[in-house]
Amino acid sequence: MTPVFELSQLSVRFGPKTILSDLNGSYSARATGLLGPNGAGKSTLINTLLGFYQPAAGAARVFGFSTRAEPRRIRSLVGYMPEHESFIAEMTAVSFVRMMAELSGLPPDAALERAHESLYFVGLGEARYRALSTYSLGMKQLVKLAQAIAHGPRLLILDEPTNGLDPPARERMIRLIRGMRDSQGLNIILCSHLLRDVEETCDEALILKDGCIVHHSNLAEERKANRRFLELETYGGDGGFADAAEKLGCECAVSGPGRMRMVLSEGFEIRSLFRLAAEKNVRIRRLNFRRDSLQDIFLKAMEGSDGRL
Amino acid sequence: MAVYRKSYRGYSGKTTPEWRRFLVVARYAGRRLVRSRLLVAFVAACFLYSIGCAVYIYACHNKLVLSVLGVLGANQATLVGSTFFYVFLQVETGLALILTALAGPGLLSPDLTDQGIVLYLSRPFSRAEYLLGKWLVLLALLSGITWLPGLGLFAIQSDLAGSAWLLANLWMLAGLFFGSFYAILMLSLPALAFSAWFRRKLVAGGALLLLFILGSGFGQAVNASLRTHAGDFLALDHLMRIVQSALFRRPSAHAVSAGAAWAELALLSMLCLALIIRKIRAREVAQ
Repeated sequence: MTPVFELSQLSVRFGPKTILSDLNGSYSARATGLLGPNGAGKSTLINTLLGFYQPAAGAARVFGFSTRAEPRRIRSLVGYMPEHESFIAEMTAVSFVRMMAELSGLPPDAALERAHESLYFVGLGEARYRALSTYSLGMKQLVKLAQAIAHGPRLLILDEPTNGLDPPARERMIRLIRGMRDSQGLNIILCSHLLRDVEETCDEALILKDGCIVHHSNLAEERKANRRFLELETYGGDGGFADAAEKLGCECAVSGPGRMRMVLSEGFEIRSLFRLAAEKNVRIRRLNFRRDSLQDIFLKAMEGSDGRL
Repeated sequence: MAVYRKSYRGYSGKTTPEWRRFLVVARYAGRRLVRSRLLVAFVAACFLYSIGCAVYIYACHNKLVLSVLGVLGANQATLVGSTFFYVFLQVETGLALILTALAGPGLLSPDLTDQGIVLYLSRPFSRAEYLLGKWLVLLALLSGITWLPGLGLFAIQSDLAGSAWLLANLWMLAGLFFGSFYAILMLSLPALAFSAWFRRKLVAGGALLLLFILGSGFGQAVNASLRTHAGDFLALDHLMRIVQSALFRRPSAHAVSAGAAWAELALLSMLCLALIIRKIRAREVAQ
């Protein structure tokens, strides 16, 4: 299978300043998250993949096409949702999305149909005949998403898609992204500085720092592993709960009175833990799967050699 | 991805040829322009002059009208000849300046104000195609009031005067076409540059008018104070007149040659394109 994008010793410079330095790797995940602090080079990497920046050294390929030699080919396969506001204020949403679809090569009739469909899909069906200047920030984000998917791209590049959204709008955006990720034939690159966005939508995370890839992790694997880590808070019982749990095949570490961490054995069902608690007359007050793995990974990746952030 | 389906689906239908995509930009830009009633009214008014000229040509070939006016037997060549078409082009060039000031500023600025340009260029679409599409709108508008009606008048005159007149005056077609083309380039490229640099349409339109009006005045001031003809290079309207005079084989009162005027057009075009390209960028990250 052709990787979604490949980087081979990719470096990008602006004048004397090196923005991306010696990036390597082949990425085939359905949804890849680009993480990193401001100025890490996330947007520059996206712009390079789109062919806006020429590599100073090395090469980047999208679906096997070189960004240097075949940028048009790449752009015909890509839908791009930029970070900043990008729209034409005096146009209505439907004509704006239609024009963008036509520029991607759709015939006028098909473009009009797809514009309506995309706007309905993102939830702007009722507002599609309004001028974009009258849209709220959240609606403008959705229009940017609609224009990015109107031509049916194979790769969707989303640059900070939840920027400026209130919690319900963010939730909606994340739901849309997840929906598209799970559909056939669409890969996603999501660039964000919000760990939650990446965690909730992506299968892989690529962490950039100072223009270098400092970590690449498979979030699906991490999630699977996390399903085995538990944090428990219990009340009551005679203290034999941890020992009994170990007999069931869990590794337990007591971290305080009534608090423990567990590593569940393969195939272990949570139901057994509740059954055990009932037998031992223990009340389970809190039970959490470990959720902060990406944050841990990110913070570890951001640490300098001296251990400081 | 039908409206009732709430899930994403790709597109697998046919696509348009890449070379034709710049026409999409031209079509949408043209559609935006015709929503301005002022612009549509002005374009319609521009045709009135052409219609008046057509009536004049007809009258020049109508014995009854000529006898009423008392010029029956006058030399037809003096009534409708190179002077007639030269004056026609001069008037239409003046109207074209106003039309460009009305239409030009709204072409690029809406795409640049809210960074819409990033979305154009993130598609299989180049800056050159984008510019070509936008310029095509001005080319069509200005052609519609300059060389195209000129061609129509020439056809009417040829039809009424006969093939001998047509053969003797065929060279004037080149005058009409190249004289108009020079004016169109001279007007449209600065208009696009101003549209790229000034976000407000009124400012961009005003700047274009000032370029021609102040440029002409400043050029004359330079000529008078320094006793040279270098000031003519600053007066863009003079340059257009110089080129059009030469094309219609008329004596020119200006010291600048038509060749130098064409060279200045080339320089001005390069300057305008450089100014436009500085603004038409896909990047949104500050370097």
